[in-house]
Amino acid sequence: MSTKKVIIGVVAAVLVLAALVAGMSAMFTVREDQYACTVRFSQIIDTTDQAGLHWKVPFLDSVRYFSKAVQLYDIPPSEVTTLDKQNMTVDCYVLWQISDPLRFYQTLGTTAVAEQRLDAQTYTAMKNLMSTLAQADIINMEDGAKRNEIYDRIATTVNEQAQTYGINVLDVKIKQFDLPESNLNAVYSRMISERNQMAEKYTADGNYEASLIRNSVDKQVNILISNAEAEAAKLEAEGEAEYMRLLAEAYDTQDKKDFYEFTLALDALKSSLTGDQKTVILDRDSALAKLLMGE
Amino acid sequence: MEESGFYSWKPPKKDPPAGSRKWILPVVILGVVALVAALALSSSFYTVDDKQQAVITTFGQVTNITDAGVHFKLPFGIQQVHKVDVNVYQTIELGYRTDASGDYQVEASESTMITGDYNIVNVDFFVEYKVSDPVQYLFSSNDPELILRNLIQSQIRNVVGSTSVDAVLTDGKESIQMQVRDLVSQLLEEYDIGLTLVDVKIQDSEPPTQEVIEAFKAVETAKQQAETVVNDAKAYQNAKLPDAQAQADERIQNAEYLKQRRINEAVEQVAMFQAMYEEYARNPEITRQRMYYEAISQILPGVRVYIDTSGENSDVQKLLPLESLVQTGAAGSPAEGSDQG
Repeated sequence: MSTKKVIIGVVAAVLVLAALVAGMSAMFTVREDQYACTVRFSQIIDTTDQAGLHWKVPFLDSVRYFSKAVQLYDIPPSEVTTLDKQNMTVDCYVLWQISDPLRFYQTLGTTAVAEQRLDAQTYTAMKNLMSTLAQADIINMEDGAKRNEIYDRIATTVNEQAQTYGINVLDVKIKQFDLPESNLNAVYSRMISERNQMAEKYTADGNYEASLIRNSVDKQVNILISNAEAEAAKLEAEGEAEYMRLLAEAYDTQDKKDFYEFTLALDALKSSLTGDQKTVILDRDSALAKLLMGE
Repeated sequence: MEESGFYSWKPPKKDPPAGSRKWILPVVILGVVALVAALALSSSFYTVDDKQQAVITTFGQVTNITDAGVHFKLPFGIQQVHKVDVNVYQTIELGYRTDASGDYQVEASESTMITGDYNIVNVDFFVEYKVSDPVQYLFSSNDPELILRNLIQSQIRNVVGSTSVDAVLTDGKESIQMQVRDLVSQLLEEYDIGLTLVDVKIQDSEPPTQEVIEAFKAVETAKQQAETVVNDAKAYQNAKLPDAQAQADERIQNAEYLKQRRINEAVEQVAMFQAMYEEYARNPEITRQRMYYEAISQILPGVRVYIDTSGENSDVQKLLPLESLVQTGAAGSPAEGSDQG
């Protein structure tokens, strides 16, 4: 009797366990950033991109997951040549996403393979586009947002090609464009000589302006002084003229003139005969001689 | 009758003591249930701190977002908690790294870029961002920070690649920061990866090599020196012109003075003459003589006088020396002068 009970108990337990396991095998969860493909006999029979709880045939079906998230692939820097034969080193990145997991699985299978393919196609698309552009289309003083339009063209081209792999290419952007290493020193030299020229110009302009100021000052000074000299000479001449006029006015009769000459003669006498050792010789008939000799 | 000889004795079958088996099973079942309950309890609550939000997924599907506090969820992995820092400003350093002690390490490959006028500069950027949408942050991309970093780098080069080197190094930084901010924010909305840009700042910008830096400095020096030279010239101007003006004024003043003096001389002379003439006019002959003898008396004290006594027809010059009338008072006797041959 009890053996039966045990056997029933064990069988019941095993059945419960089996049901549990089967139940668990019939469920699978899908995250928000995943696709889930139900695989039966190594073939994908169903795909879902809905997150949550899903059902499948227990034990028979397996689930393969693919990422639904946006992925970034950073393409290693490469050299491209522009339309005007200029070399540039370009480093870009690709944002991509699996859109059709079945096709992705059939054509590529893994992320690594996908990246390889994207690398090749993006590089080709970019190289081709760059060869239609002059270097001045990349490096110029226009609006920075315009370059995004160029990148969009690359993205569109690569996206079209990527559809056959079940991939959406969402964006391609160049994150770094540089001149090749070999050009760098030439650029530095050019920058240095440009700056030297600017420095020289400042110096020359400064000196020129300074000399203009100085010359102008000197000129003005000369003009001032010579004008003053002329004015002074004029004034002194006026003074002289007035002097003459006053005297002429004063000595207006002949009598006055004679008297004036007389006073002048006396003054001349006085001034010439002061001092030591002066000698005068008088004529015998002169008034003074007569006076002195008592006549 | 004879038997085999062995007698085996089997002990009677005994039932196990009543009650002991019954006792074990409930205990074990109780134990298992208790264990399961404990496990369930420990995985059915969680806490969220105030810098975070928690995204709850049920069987993988997003069903709820919770804020700071203690919350309950279904245990055993039916519901999972993904915590995201949403109220924290995160940073990205481009062109440099700050290490643990606060020092800067340069990352030249990130900071070297071309400007719109074919020059090369090194520019370091400091970026702040935060999580704007925790669901998108967790599930729309597999590395949102990396995507943001690459996006920023590309837009930085777009903007700097359209700016002149002088603007990048001196007064264009505000503009660059603003343009990068605008472009990145706009594209970030399109990307929709759950991040939003808070701020972009240029940390440092300078020429690429030491030599180029020196060349840039030399321009500044030249500029300043040129200013100095011009200022010196202006100082010269400010000193010289007033000085010359003063000289000119002095010259003219002096001339005025001389003119006036000459006129005054004339006036004086005329006045004196008029006075003398008035007197003379009254008695001309007497005045003449008086003046004459006055003059003579002034002169004679210091003078030797000779009288020429030779007649008109004389061949010999005779001179009479006379002592001064005033000084000696005695008339000198006439004497023969020496012959002049």
